[in-house]
Amino acid sequence: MNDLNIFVIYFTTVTVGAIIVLIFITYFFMRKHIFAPPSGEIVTSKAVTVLKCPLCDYRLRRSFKEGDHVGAVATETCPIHGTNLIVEAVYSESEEKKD
Amino acid sequence: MLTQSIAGYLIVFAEQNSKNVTPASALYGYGYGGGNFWLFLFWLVIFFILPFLFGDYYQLLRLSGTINRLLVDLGRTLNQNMTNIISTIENIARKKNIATPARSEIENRIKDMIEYVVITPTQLEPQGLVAKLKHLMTLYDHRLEDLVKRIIPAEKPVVQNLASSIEALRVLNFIYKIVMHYYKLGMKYKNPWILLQVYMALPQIKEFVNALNGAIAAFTKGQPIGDSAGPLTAFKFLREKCEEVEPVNHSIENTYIARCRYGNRMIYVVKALGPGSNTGRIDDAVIYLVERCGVKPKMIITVDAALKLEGEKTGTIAEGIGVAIGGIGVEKFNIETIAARYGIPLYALLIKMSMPEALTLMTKEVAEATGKTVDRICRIIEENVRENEEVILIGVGNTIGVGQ
Ligand SMILES: [Zn+2]
Repeated sequence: MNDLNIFVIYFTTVTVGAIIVLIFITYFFMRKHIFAPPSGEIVTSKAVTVLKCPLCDYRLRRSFKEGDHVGAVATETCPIHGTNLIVEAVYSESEEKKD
Repeated sequence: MLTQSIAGYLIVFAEQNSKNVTPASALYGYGYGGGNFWLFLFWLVIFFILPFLFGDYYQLLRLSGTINRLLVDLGRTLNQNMTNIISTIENIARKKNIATPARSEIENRIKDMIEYVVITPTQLEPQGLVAKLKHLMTLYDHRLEDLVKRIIPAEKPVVQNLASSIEALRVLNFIYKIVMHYYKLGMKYKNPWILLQVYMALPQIKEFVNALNGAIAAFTKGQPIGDSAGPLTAFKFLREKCEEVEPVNHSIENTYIARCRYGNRMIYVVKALGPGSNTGRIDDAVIYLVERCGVKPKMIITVDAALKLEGEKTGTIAEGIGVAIGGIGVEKFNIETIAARYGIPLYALLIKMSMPEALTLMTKEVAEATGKTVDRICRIIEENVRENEEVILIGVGNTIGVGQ
């Protein structure tokens, strides 16, 4: 009878331990899929064009328009000099989506 | 199955009173004197025979499901990009009043172009291989642009951008065909190990496909990509640091050479001619400057985008010696040859980025890094070159979206 008690204790311990380990493994594997929000919805990237006055440090940021390339002369003008701004950079900027 | 094993377990428990029942015999049903032979057989089948019999089938099922999903995704990406390119062509044609073939005809021609093959020269005898490769590369570029021009006879940058997007589509199509090949092969021979090879490369394939997807989007819109960091650095150096900028006359196609003065030193800036998508003929430009114009450079500085390792930060700048040019190595070979012949020191500046960042719209980090690279170039020139000496600065990379 003593043998059987030991066996029951042993068996229960092993079973409970195995279940705990299983839950942990499942948690760590699934965490990424269940708890993290889908990446595409939170952060979106957007093309930004930076315009700069050739005479001073005036800069203007706006969204990318077709035909923009670095070195191109834009239609926007500098409020101080009245010269056409020149595209200084085009890059992507990730932004938080507000909803 | 579960009920069976529980039943067997209970039977053993019921036989407790008989004799010599140990934990082991209760669990496994056999051994240590007494127990249940049928239960033992049951476990034997479950643990030893089933996996060997059906393991391959189970693997095949799982892997084919995963790869099938990849193929469906790839096919969808391919179709979307094809539609994207065709509508870009149609939009340009409408805006500029250019006659184009019908939509189905355009699609057929693009389908022909993405099946285009380039047969590399034989390497049995390596003598003169670089010249042959260069010849083929030039031929391929011309042929591709020619085919695009037959669809839409627009100005050069537009044609170059479209040619590059079709080139990216060609790579995408190639990946699709390779994955499909291994999928069909694995299913034909019912062999999971063939599928496993695709499965192992799956993360990289997905990353590359996403990058190409972004590349096509950037090419069709004419936006600078991460690889444009080199030409952008050259552009910024010319605009922000130089005085007396004047273009050098030459007949090398797709290449821009300018002479300018920085801190009383003569700098020759070489980059591809923008804003169309192309990498220029940089080696020809260096040969032209050194051998035809008689420029005696104290150093040749190359600036290029380089692949970072996973732990490195995007936009870090690495400095070194050598020629920083990727690709097949034709330009690299030619510049190294001429530098060795005239004993010109070679300096390299690398802007680190990941492969997706290099192929898709330039990120803010890379755009900011080009500014820092310009400062680094100024420092190198001031430290290593005396006044009235000459330097060749090369902005290596695709110049899409970057003018001059
Ligand atoms: Zn101004």
